[in-house]
Order: sequence, then structure tokens, then C-alpha cells
Amino acid sequence: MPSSAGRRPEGERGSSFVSYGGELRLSNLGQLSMLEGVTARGASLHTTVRGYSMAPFIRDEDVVTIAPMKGSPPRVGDVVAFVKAECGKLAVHRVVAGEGTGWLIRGDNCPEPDGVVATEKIIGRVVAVERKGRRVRFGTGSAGACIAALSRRGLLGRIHAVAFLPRRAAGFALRHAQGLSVYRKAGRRAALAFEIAEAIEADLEAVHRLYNVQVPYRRSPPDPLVTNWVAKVDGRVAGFVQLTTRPEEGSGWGGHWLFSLMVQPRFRGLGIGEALTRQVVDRSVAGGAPDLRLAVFEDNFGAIALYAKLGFDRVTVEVLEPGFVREKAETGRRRIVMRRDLGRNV
Amino acid sequence: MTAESNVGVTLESICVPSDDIVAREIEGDIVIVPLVAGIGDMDDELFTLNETGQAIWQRLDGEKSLGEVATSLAEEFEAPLEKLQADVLGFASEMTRQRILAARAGRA
Repeated sequence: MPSSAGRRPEGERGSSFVSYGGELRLSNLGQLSMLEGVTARGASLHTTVRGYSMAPFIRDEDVVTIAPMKGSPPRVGDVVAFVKAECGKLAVHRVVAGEGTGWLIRGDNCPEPDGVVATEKIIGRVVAVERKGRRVRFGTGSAGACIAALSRRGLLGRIHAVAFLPRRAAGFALRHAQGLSVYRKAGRRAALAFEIAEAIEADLEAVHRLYNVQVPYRRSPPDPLVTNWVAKVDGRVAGFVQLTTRPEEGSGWGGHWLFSLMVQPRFRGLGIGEALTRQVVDRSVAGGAPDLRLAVFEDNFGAIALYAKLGFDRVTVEVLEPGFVREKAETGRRRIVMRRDLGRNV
Repeated sequence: MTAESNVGVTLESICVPSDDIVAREIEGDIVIVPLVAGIGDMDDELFTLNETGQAIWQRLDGEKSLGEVATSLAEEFEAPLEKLQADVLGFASEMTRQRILAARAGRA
């Protein structure tokens, strides 16, 4: 990427006339307008593309360099920027065949072609793709022509399925291996080292990203009644748990509750869930709590077995039952409450 | 900012968009992409002008001097001329430093 250092001195950032920066996101039509302006000057445009229509070769948020056509017609296999006839919007898809005086264009991940596009509606050709700052291959030259041939015959979708099969098979095998005690023992012996720490804001953002759970980490000050912990492997979040200590006010959720225990699938079977649960138990004991409760889906047998091992028993909290029944009617899944008496050592 | 501090740009200067940029009016904003080595880097180097910047930019027709631009703005917005002269000089000085505008000496 060409450097333009010096064009934007630090001191100018507080300008009263100009906003600087790539954080300004143009709409599709804005991008189109700018692309037309830049290519009309014979220059290329470096811009972020959005969407999945070219996956897996070009992905959402990849940065593409679009060069002007400069009078040379596209070739089959080229990825081109063009104006879609039906909506007038900018799209970046692959030329899969020549059709009369125009070109049949189709996104690599699209069930249908875009149709035949006239040469003059093609604004530029993608000459480079970067993902997270690194150049990636997106199928140019003969590779592009091959992709185009498969796409034209509608075979590309099936190729994807085959290409992803090994990963699916590996995930299936891993899930089964995680259930085996030999895996657990080996994993613990290999000491896939994890550490547990109270979560800082950056951790909670990671948790939010990984699990999309409602963790109140934004727009609200830290809640003194809530403590969050994360388990980390090599500095990356591998698991999460939350302790809440609400006053007993009749809602049923008062007292010490363990919430949102989660372990990233690939780190399961290594004792992370148990360590996180013990962390919550220890803190509750230290806080003088008489007991600790949690709610778990009744079909989450792995979690229920873990909690039972750590001394939790199923109990009924009458005031919560109507909510659980309603939840089951709405979602098909029912939660149950488990409780551990903290007078006992397990 | 005072006129004295804007080295190279005076109220007599005439400023025009530089050859090294592409500016487009997009959804009511003036959006500017600099061209560096034949590439417009929209991912990293995008500028938009605020209201004042936009009002000044639209009057840079290659004919009016910066002083005349300030006068026309003062009339249209019924604002003090001195304030607008300072704004126009500040804007032109910043934009020429960034090579978004090119300045040339005005008529003698």
C-alpha cells in the first residue's frame, strides 16, 4: 500500500474544516461515485468491500484495489467492479463468460448470475485483495478462468461444500474426543495452560464477540453486584463466568447466582469450566454467602453433570417457575435451578 | 488563526483543487480522496469537509481570490468579514499544506 505519510500531520487532526480518516464509511452509491471519479482520472481505488457474494475468494471487509479498464475489455475470470442494471448499485463480481457484446457476471457465492453487463458498465478490474493487511489470492489468470468455468456451470457451490468438509469432519471428531476421559487426561497432562482472572473491559468485549451474550460492559459503570471472570489460553479468552449478588427482593434472583458459564468449544474437556465454577464458589464462600445458585437448560447434560460433581443439587424456586414454563413455551427449552449449600466442602 | 501565520496564502491568492485529489459531492458532503502514486486510498485517506469548509470549497471557482470568497460568504451569511477572512485563510492554508488545494498568486 503506498504510504502517504506527511500528508496528514498529527496536529491537523483537530481541524475545524475537515474530518480525516478511513472511519468514514461511504454508502454503496458513494463508493460508486468515488470509483467513477478516480478511474476517470486513470487512477486506481483502494476500498473496503462488504458482503459475502464473492466468498470465499473475497470476503466481507476485505480491501480491494480496483484499477481502471483503460479501454481493454475484461477477460473471463476477471473480478470486476460494475453497475448493476436493476438497482444502479456498485458490485464487485467475476466475469464468467462473454455474451455477445457484453459479459456474463456472477458472484462466486451467488446462486444466480447478475446477467449480461455491457462493457461500458464495467468500471474497473480488481487487481489486489488484502485481508487484515495481507495480500490474498482471489483467483486471477488461469485460476480465475477455472473458477469462472465452474461458476458458469453452477458447480462452485458444490466445490465449497467439499472444501469445507474436512473442517466439519475435524469439528465432529473433536467434539467426540472431548467427551472421552483419555482426551481430558491427556489435555490436562499436556497442561494446556489456562489462567483465570477477573475480566477487564477488553476481555468483556472479546466475550461479547465470542458468545454474543448480554454482558453489561458498555454505557454503564461497573456494577458492584456483578463480578466477571475469564479463562485465558495464551492471552486469548477461552471461557467466561459471572457472579451476581443481588439483594433478596422477591424476584427469585436475589442472593449469589452463577451466570453465563461458557467455554469455547475447542477448549472444552480441559477443566476450564470446572475451574471457572470453582472460582465463583470460592468467591461466594469468601463473601459469606450461605449458598450459590445457577440456572441451566435441562437438556444441557454436560453442564448439569459438572455442577452435580461440584456439589450442586436440583432445587425448585417457586417464584421463578412461571417464567421458566413460559420460556419453554416460547423457545422449546426449559431451565432448571441448581443450588449448592456453601456450608459443605466438595 | 491570523493572516500572518498562513505562509504562502493571502487574501489575494486564488486556490483551486489540486490535480492530486478526486473530490465528489456524495449525499450532501464533499468527500475528497488524495491520489498517491496513482491510487486513491479510500480505506485510509478519506476527507470530508464540514459546513464551513464546504461553503468555502464551493466558491473556489478558479476566478475568485480568497478575499472575494470571504466577502461573498460574509454577505450570504451576514457574518463579520474579519471572521470569515480568518476562516477562509485558515482553510486554504490547511488545504494547501495537505496538497488538497493548489494556490497561485492572484491578480496584481
